[in-house]
Amino acid sequence: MTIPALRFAGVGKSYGATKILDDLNLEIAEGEFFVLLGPSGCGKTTVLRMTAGLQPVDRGEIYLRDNPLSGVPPERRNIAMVFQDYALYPHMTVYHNMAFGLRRHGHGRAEADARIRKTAALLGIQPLLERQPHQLSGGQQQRVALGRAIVRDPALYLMDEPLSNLDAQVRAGVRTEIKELQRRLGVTTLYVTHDQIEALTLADRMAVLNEGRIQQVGPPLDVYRAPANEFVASFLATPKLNLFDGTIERVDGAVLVRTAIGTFTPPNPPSALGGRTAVRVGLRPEEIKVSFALREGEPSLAIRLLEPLGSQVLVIAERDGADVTISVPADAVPEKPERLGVVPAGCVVHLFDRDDGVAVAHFRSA
Amino acid sequence: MMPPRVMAAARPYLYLAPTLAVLAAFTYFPIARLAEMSLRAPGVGTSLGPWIGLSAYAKLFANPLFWRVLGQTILFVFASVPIAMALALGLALLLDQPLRGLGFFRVLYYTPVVTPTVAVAALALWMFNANGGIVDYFLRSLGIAPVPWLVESTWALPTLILIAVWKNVGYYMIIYLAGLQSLPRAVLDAARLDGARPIVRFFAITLPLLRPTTFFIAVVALIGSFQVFDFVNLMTQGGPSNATNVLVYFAYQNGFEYLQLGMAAAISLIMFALVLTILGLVAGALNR
Repeated sequence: MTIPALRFAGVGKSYGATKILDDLNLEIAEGEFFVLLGPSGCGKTTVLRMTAGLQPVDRGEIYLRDNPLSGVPPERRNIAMVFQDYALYPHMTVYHNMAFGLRRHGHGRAEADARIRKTAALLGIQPLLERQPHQLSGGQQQRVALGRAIVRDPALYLMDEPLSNLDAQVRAGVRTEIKELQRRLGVTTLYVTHDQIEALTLADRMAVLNEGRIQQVGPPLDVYRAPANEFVASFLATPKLNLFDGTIERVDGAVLVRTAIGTFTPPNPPSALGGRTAVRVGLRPEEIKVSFALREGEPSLAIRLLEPLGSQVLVIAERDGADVTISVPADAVPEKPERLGVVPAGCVVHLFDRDDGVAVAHFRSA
Repeated sequence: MMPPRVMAAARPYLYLAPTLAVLAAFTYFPIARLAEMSLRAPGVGTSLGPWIGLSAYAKLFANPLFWRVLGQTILFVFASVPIAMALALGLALLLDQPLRGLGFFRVLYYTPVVTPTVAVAALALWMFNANGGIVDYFLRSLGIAPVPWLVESTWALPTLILIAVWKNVGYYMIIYLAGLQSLPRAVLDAARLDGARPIVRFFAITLPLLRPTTFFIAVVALIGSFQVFDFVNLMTQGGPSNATNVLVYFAYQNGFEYLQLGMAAAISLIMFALVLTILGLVAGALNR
């Protein structure tokens, strides 16, 4: 069995009586791009800082290539971190920002110089080497911060929401770059973000963290398709997950899930459903099928608001006081629509336990 | 009625006028008047006598005491300021820790700053008293012979420096502490991950980032130290045998004891030029 690059074994952290992290167990493989996704305050930055050695671990142990990290100061961990606000040395040129860590790690002047030139070429920042950080744009600073991490060729990269201070346009560009770089360099990366798009696009595998506990671990599409619970489903839905109370009816061996917006039918009765008669039903805006051409007497929803996003339109509709947000291709929306009907066939439906929110079944409705 | 363009151009000066008027009346005019005084013979009362050119300066430069006082002033400034600043930075680093009871120590170190100079001087006179002062008492208990603190020429100026450092260090410390606490933590964290040990972090990151703070303190401290007068007047009156005489006290003696207002004016102007030059050099070195 191969040794994981990074392993968290029962790691916990508390501030006074407040538990920040509770029994974190996680293994990250060598060369893997692992994303820790969660809302602010979920403990994800604490995980990074503990891995870096900037915060002590209260319980459990973190292993870097099977070496326990507790007691090893940050300066001897061979870990590089990219900070949210870049944290470049403001009084040093880009060149010296990159040279600082190399020199501290005992590389000679000539070797440091060669490495800096190579990394600068890789990132396209050669023209910036003699500049000071305050003379750089946000995107350039971010690239230098990446360069400072890459140039050291560490055992592990830690990235703390490195894109959150960038403009939307620059962000998408740098995101692609980070992914390509990581592929090329093959260095294990632990990346923390609250942005689900970043998690889905960047990760080889991801973990969703909430209130100091891991909710789900897996490849991004698996997590997206089969969220383990209501929280994960909500967190991975833009702009929000539509949640309804549902009742289960069993007719001739088939199962019907009745909700305020329609009745959904799983192709095969889900075994995990057991004898439940009530569930929570979650539908993502992009996974609901609708029709604007209504037949007489068919149940329908009143459209309250349209939010055009370009290729898609977010339709906010309601029925019996229940709000539904649906993402519809822009060209499918007629002029000034007033009502729409949910077409159950083809809708992707997630069923959760009514009490603990744990996922019971995911299916495309027949 | 003025044309609008003239009005627009004049407006800033209009707003500046009150401040400029106050500065002119209480700062620029007195400096000019001082220069005039240094170039004229003393008259009767506050009036000035005939113009005598630079003879006051010539007399001053020919006076060995002036050079000695100048030297002592520079020694006082360049000993007390760096010592106080280094100590202040050291204390600020110690107090910039997430430990319990730090507020108490911050108050403790700041107390001398808010204590009136007269009280500090009285206390210091008692503590450094050559006949049973508490400092000597402690030294004796450590087996060190009593030191003739303020009585002997060699010890008097160092003693004054010590007291000035003690009085000022708390003020500089508070400013350094504010500077330290506004440093970007992530930058220091980044340096740790880059493999920098504490001593390297201090010299390569903390100290350079504190430069604006250091510059501010240096300016305040230099100006304040050049103008030292209260401790000298309260504790030694420049003695023993001029060992603690400094420029401001020397000017005061000339002006108000020997009634040589021209000489006093000349000393003041020389000091003014000296402070300006040194501040320029410090600004050049620190405020890049």
